[in-house]
Amino acid sequence: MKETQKRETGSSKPPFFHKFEVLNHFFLFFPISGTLVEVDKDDFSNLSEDNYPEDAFFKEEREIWEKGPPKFKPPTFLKSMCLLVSQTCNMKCSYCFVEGGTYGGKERLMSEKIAKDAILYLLNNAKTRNVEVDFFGGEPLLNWKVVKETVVFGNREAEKRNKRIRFSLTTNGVLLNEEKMDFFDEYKVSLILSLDGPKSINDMYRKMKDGRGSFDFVWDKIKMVRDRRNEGYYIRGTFTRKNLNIGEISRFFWENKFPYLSLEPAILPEENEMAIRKEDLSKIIDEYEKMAKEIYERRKIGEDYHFYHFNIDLEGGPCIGKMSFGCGAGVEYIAIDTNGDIYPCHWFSEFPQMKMGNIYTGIDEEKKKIFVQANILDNKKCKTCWAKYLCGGGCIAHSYLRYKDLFKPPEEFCTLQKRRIEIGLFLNSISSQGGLL
Amino acid sequence: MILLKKNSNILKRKEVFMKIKIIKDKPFLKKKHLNCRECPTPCKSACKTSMTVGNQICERDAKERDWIF
Repeated sequence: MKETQKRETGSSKPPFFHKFEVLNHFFLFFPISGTLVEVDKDDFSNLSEDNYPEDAFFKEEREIWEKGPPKFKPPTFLKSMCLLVSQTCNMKCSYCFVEGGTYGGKERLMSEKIAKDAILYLLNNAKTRNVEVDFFGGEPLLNWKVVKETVVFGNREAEKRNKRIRFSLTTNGVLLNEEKMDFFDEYKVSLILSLDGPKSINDMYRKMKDGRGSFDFVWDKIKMVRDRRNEGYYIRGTFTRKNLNIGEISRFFWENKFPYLSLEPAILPEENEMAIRKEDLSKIIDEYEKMAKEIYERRKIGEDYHFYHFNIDLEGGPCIGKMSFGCGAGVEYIAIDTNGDIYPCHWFSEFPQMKMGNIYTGIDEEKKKIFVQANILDNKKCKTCWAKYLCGGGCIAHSYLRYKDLFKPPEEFCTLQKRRIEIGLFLNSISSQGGLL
Repeated sequence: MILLKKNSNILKRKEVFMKIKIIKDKPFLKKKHLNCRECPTPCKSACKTSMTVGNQICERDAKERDWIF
C-alpha cells in the first residue's frame, strides 16, 4: 500500500474516494470521475485515502483526482418556470408552507394574459431547445381554463421557435377527472400527485377545508392516473416527525402498484412540532434502508419500483456542468406569481424581499448575481463533500427558510441526502450490472 | 471483476490480492458533452423540494423523452 500525501487544508476538492456500505455490500465511489467499485468487506475496512493499492487502477483515478474537475462558467439564462396559477386551494393541509396556497396574501388566480405572457418571457429568454413549465399552487386545477389555454398556447409558440416545451402539474387530485386526463395525456403533461400514504397517515395532515380527511376524496382519482399511465407521474408524499415510518408508507404505494414515489420531509421552521429534528435522522435512515431492501428484493423478481432520490444513473444522468450548478433557482429556474412578479423559485414566493422582477420589466440582474453564486463550486460547505455532484447543493430555499442564508444547507438535509445517494448508487449498481461480488 | 495486487503484506510470505468489481468506470468523464443543460431542471421534477441533481436524465445522449420525469 502506498502512503500518500494528505490533501491540503482548505482544498476545494472532495476526497479521493468515499467508502460506504449498503445491505452488506461495500463500495468505493470516486467523486471526480464517478467511478463506482465494489470491494470485499476485509479490504473495505483497510482502505483509506492514505492507504490503497499501488496499482494502475488507483493510479489512474488518483491522477484524475489531482487534476480536478473541469471548470465551468455558471449558467446565466432561463430554462424553466413555475407558474403559480392558483394562489388558493381547496384543501387545508397542516404543514402547508404557503398558508393554504395564498403565500401570505389574498386568495387569487392567475389571468390567462399573465400566464401566456410568462410563457413568452420564458421562450424568448431561454437558450436551450428544451424548456419546462410547472403549474403549481395552491391547487392549480382551480384555474383549469387558464392551465388548458396555457398548455395549448405554449406548445404552439414553442414550435414556432423550434423549441420543445414540456409541462408538469402538481395537484392534490381532488378535481382530476377523465376529461382533464384526456387533455393531459394528449399534451404529455407530467403529473405530481400529492398524497401522504394510506388513509390513516394521509388524513393526519391532508385535510379538506372543512376539516375532513382528504383520502376518500382523492384515492379513486389517483388510481385513475395509475390505470391510464405507465409513466409520466409521481406520487409525492410529505412526512413529518409524527409519521417517520416511510418504509411502511412506501410499501403501501408499491403494493397498490404505484411504481413512482417521492416522499419528502416537511420543510418547516425548526421550532414547529412537525419539523424533522436531528434526533429523527437515524430513524429516517433506517427507513430508507428498509425501502432500499424492498426495491432490491422486488427488482430480483422483476418488479421495477422507484423512489425518486434513489434514481441515480451515473451513465445516463446529467453532465458534470449541469451537476455543478444545482437547481438553478433564480437563474435557470424562476417562479411567476399571479401578478407576473418573478421569484427565484416557488418556495421563495412567500418572501416579498426575494422578488427579482416582473415579466414585463425583466429581472434585477444584481439580485440574479446572488443566485448565480449558489452552487457547489462556490459554497464552502459543499466544496469538499464527496456527494456534491450528485446532490447539487440542496434546496437553497430550505437553507434560507432555516437560517436566512442561501449558502448553508441544513445539516439534517446533508445527512439524509448522503445516505440517499449511497443507496441510489447501490441500486444503480444492481440494476445495470447484474450480480455483485 | 479484477484483482489488484496489494503491497502491504507485512509477512511478505506471498502476494496478496484485493478483489474489486468495477461497476461504473469514469462515467462523469465519458459524456460526449460537458455542459449542454438540456436535461430538466431538478426542482421541476417530482420532489419539488430537496432536489437531487444526479437523478436527472440526460437527453442529449439518449432519445428525447415525452415526460419531464
